[in-house]
Amino acid sequence: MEHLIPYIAIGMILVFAAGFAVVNSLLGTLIGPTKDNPAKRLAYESGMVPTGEANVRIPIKFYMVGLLFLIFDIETIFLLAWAVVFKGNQIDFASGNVGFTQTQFQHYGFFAMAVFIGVLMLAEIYAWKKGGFEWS
Amino acid sequence: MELLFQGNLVLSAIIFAIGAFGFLWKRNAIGIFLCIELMLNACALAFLTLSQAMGRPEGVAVFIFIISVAAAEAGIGLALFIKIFNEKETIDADSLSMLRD
Amino acid sequence: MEPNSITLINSHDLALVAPAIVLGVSALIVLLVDLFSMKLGRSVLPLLTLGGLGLALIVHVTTGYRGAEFEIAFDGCLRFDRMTYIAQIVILSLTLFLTLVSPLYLIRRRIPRGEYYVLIMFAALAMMVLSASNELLTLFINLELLSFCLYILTGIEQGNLRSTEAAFKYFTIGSYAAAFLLFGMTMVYGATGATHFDEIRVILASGSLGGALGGNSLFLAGGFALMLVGFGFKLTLAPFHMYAPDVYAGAPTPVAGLIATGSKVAAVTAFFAIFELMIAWGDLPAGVYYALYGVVVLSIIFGNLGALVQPNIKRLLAYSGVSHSGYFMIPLLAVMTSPELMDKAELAVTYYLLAYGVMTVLAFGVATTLGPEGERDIDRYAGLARRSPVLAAAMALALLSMTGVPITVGFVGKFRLFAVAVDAGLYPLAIFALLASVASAYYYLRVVVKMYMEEPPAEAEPIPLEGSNALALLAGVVCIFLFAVLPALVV
Repeated sequence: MEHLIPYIAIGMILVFAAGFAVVNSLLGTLIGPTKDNPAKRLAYESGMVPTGEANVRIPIKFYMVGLLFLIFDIETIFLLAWAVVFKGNQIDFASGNVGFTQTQFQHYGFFAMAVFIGVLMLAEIYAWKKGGFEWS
Repeated sequence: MELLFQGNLVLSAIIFAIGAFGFLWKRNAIGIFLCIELMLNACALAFLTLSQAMGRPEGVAVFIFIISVAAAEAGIGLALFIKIFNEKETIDADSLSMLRD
Repeated sequence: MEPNSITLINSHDLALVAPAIVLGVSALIVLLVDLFSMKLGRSVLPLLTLGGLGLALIVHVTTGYRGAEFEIAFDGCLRFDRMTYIAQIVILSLTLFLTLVSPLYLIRRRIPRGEYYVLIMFAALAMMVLSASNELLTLFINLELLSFCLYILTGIEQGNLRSTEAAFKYFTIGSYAAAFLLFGMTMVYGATGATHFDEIRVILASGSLGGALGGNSLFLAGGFALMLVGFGFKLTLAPFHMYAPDVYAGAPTPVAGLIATGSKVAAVTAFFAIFELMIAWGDLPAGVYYALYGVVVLSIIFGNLGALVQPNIKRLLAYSGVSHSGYFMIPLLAVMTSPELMDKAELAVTYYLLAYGVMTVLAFGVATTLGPEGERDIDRYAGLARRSPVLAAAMALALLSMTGVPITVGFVGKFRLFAVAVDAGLYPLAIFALLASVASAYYYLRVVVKMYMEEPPAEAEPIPLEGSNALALLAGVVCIFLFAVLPALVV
């Protein structure tokens, strides 16, 4: 069972989280006063009085915004991976095994990302010109 | 770590199977699409796990690209569903049956 | 990769992918011209597209692969050999052909032209790189880029439910297949620990699988089998072909032509690289061989049976494509039984890539030129010889070539494919394919007879032929004869 040792911490968090919730709600029902009124039985909507049905259909325009967000959001995953290695500090340039200098590496990285961002910008211009960012 | 490795692979196989069978069962276009995403992400999990276990970096690169492919697929899928909805007022897969032998 | 093998981009690599770069840049230029120009600019789009494709073709022929056995680029991610070189020429020519025949069709069907041309060029780019892929991730990304372009192109028509439905079917089934392909890649990566084909080949040949799953070779066999399934969908091999007739029938005709020819040419080339890995693995289970055998036989049976009863020309071509995909796989089976035939099989497949591409795209070119009439029932082709002798002749020639009538590329191509099977001693398979090929004459010639023997409908008028369409069709007709008479021009 030795391989389970790293999981002890996770197990403890699970126990504490579950215990905290259970104990607090139990305490509330046991020692708190119980006064019922209609307002308490309403659905909670951040303090507003709920209006309309819960099963509303989301307008189809929402999907348009959603998919534009999705597409332009994902670029970050490439930017992050690129930013981590951009400076080239992980590479041992002095060893002589590498066929280029650190500056060359950075220039190359900058150029590659410039191409990427440039193409992405074209896509954004396309979406903008086609009215993808207008709600109505 | 051995346990994590095997567990993740089994988990990814299970997720993939859920997606593969769900695809055959689902009738709603969004449901079908979610099953495809499940399958892709199961592969992404397996690649990450294998990469970690073997100490080789390719799996992580594949993971990044799977995520972006899945996003592009979501973009095309949603656009297509909007088009279907505009033309048919429903996105039930059974309603699309004009083309057959 | 080891630290000492790190290289930045170099001119050798760039020269090899220069055609793809030309395609990408010109696609972006077309996109910008479409966005920022008024009415005037729209008519320039086909010219720009033709210019981009033509330039890419010229760059491809003049720079790049130089007849060495093979060349490696981008740390082994891309591999250029004879098959890739010819497949890329075929891909660029097919795209050029479809661009030449489609302008009038696009206007008639009110297809947004800017997006159409941009996506056609991106699809061509993806096909170019896909056919050169030598690494799992490169292969997957380009297959997906190609598929995405084709999904959008299939459903590009506004307010046409048939087009939308075809796009939906293609999208869902294509993505499903891609997921299987990816899961197969996962297993291969897990079993061998590498994604570069060159590395995988060395590991497989050494006999000791290095990966985390390497202890159990079942994972490797399963991975290859799942990749076969994924490519089976892409190549419309039976039993994964069900979607193809629907998609071809619903998609705009030039797009159906691109799906039927270009994407198949690229996918066959990419699949051949994976097939070489399978061959490199000495302990390949016999199950994979029997699975591929079954797929080939089923494809030929289903393709021919399906085509027999089709009243719709595009569905007929789809089913005929299924049987041709089956023929493509015959040399692969031969190599599995006798590996020394590898070179011959590669040549046969390469030649058939060209033959299949030329004759199929010619048939789709005629259907595109005919416009809305050309994509419906075969009955509409009745008496076409009276209304437009050129179109009827081109169509008849394409169909005769698909049947395998001598002095056409189809005959030489099929002869080479079957010859490899005979050399390997697969007599039952060769005879079966030959008989199926003879039987296919029934449904191909049915169309030819309709065009030449029957009277045109009473209200039918002669069909005018645009200059660009005539040029493209003429080029296709010349190719059908030229490469049959002088096969040495290809390989």
